[in-house]
Amino acid sequence: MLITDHNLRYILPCCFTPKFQVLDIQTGGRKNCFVFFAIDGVTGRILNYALGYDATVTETVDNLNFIKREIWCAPNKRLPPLEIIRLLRSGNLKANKCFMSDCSKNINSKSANEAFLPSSKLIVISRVPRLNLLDLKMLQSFVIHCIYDWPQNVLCRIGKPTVIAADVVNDIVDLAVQRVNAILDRKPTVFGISEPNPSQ
Amino acid sequence: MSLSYSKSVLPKPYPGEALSSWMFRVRELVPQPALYALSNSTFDDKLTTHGQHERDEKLDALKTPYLPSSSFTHKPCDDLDLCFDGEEIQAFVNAYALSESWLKRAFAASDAPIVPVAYRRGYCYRCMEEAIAATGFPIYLKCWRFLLQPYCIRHSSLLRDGNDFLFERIDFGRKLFQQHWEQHREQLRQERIDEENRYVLSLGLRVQKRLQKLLKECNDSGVRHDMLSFVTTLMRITFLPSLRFCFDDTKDITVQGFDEGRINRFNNIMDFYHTVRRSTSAARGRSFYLVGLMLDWINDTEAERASIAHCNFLPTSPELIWVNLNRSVGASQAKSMLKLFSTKDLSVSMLKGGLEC
Repeated sequence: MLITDHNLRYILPCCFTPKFQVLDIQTGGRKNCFVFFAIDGVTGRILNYALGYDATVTETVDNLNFIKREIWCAPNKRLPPLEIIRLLRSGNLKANKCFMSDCSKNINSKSANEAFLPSSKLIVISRVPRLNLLDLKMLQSFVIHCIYDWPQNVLCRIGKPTVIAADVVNDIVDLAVQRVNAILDRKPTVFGISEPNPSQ
Repeated sequence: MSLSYSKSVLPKPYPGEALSSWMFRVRELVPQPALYALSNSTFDDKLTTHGQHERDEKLDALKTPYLPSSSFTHKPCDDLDLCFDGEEIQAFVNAYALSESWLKRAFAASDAPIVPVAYRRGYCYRCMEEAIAATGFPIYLKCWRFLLQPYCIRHSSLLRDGNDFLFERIDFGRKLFQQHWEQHREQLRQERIDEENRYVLSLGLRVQKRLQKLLKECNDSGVRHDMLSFVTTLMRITFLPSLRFCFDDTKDITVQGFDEGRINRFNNIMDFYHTVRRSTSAARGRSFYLVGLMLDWINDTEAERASIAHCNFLPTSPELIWVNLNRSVGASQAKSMLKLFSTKDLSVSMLKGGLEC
């Protein structure tokens, strides 16, 4: 078992594919989109996000499965993990995959210390017990809720709900991130796993 | 060249009037500045042929506001009720030399969830009659856009739903009123149905009033937002496919939107979130009855008395609702959200009848 270090941040990469498409104003075409979130593995706060377009659903789902198993570990001063987000912003999923696989050589390393080198590393989520205090399922449900539960100022800019203009999609994700972080500011333990009842 | 009109000529907004309605009245009573602004657009030299065509259509629509503006057909609709940054509203503000801050103060709505403009159908005929008596216009009120207000509080009646194809009209209020009279037989039929459902409707109205009271008493914006989200989630639950039988006697559950057709898909999470926005006032009124049962705001005896002859399967107890919901796919997501939005006044612990989390 790894010894967790409080000077390190544990960042959960999370990818989500909304069911709406993005309208390309210039070409009039529609594009699939996915949102990549970098979530603080301890507090649940969303540290950064990136939007990607034009990936096929299969590619995105593969990517989701791929990154879900790991967690990003970085020193506190080196947040958020901009490298990966920049790569996703380019819309080049393959580049992201290459990047991930380059780093993933540490995932199966038997040396615990190797995963805690000063530079950012990927580690296996189940090996960090401190992270199990966060109810990820609930957090992800809320993120999804915020993506679809459009506030008034977004709703009044949407005509067809299945095809949304790129700037509105940006606002939707931006507002969703704000809502997630706001609820954590108000109720910091809202996504915490409740401790088992001792009487049971 | 100065505009030849006086500000005092502009009609004052009617209490609760939507901006689109007031814009229409202003253009009707003082049309010159709008025409002047459009015909002397400073972007003339930059306009493409398509742009000119669009501008001409807008001019025609302003000159003859009783005709639909076909230029809206293939574009996302502009929300002239609540979106103050739109191009058309900006042009209106400039044309009539209005203050933007005043416009927002006068017409901004609360943070309550709204029905998107493409699905706006609801209206209260009696409110319109009163508006005609006061102003000469059948005014469209912004509260009819609020998702959690399917009933007219003033007249204690369920809102009527207009035609699917009127929503983008610039004279929306007037067309609703006109259509109400043109479809006289439909109105008689609706009155008969309302009479048969009067107990269910009155219980739904009671739920709406109680909710509004709770929201009014809440001073914390965060808690208020959680309460709104809690009730909206409960409404979404009532629109899950496993509870569709509760709406068997409702003519239409959802309205046709922008290029969507009438197909109810209910096959993904998008539908879970979107169906409530598309729902008719009648469906939302029924949904409030079910929400009241789940929250125990309506007791079993009251529900039994309210049972409707031609809707035998309408639940009269929360157990009958949950027994269907607990095996529904979308319910688990909703239950997580209900836990999250629980507050002192509205919480999961208040839900009666077998919520399995």
